[in-house]
Amino acid sequence: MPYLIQDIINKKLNKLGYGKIKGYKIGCTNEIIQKELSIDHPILGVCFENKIIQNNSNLCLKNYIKPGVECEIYVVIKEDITSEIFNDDINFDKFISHYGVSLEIVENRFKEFKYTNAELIIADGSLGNSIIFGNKVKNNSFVNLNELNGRIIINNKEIYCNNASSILGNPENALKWFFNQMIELKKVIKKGSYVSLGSITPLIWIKEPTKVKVSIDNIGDCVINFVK
Amino acid sequence: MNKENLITALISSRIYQIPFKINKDFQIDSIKDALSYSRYN
Repeated sequence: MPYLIQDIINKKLNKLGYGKIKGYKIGCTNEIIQKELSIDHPILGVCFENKIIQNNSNLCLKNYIKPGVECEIYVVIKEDITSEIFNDDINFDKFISHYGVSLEIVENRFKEFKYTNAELIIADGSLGNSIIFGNKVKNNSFVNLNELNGRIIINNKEIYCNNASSILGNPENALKWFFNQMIELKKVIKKGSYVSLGSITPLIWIKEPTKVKVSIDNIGDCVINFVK
Repeated sequence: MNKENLITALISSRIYQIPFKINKDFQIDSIKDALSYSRYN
């Protein structure tokens, strides 16, 4: 199972300076990205403590093989979640303490992407590299994640604006998939974990110095500058 | 490719920015073997 390989690699990366696992990222949650990667289901990776980037950072392109950016929604888990307390009918509001906008930096680390497959990409860490978590908004029962709109702005020009329903029809579906996946992997989801639910917008590959801004209306935004 | 080689290659791509090379079809089967091997070991 490729997640076992990913686990082994994550433990080694932890010792190599990546730090603890602070959260998770769900990938391949919208149709455009699924087509681009030729994967027809969501995939899971982790967010390492030392790969969480401050908002408005400058990043050197030379430190990446082939970086890409995505506008995502993240949630913070309110309490430990185990198979004993989770079932498909639960109210997800109960398990979310905060939410916000995240800017995920993915990385294609494969020389020839056409030879990859879903299992290899999962073993690789689901293309994860680093992430910015924007300001946290306290969850209340009035928010409907499905009504949020996300935007990606490249060099001050808006490239895409999509509704959050592009995430598996509803971001809650991504969260439900994540809970089920973690339970299948026999893992506990710890209180305070960050979970980036997947991209609202298509994946944008970055090839040259670029200013990237992602935003979700009325929630916040994240900015990074890729420099030489 | 065995499981250890696969893990080393994937880590090297992270740490040293060395792209993971697969340039021949037979390597896909080799990688599949390494991934399935991990289910039982």
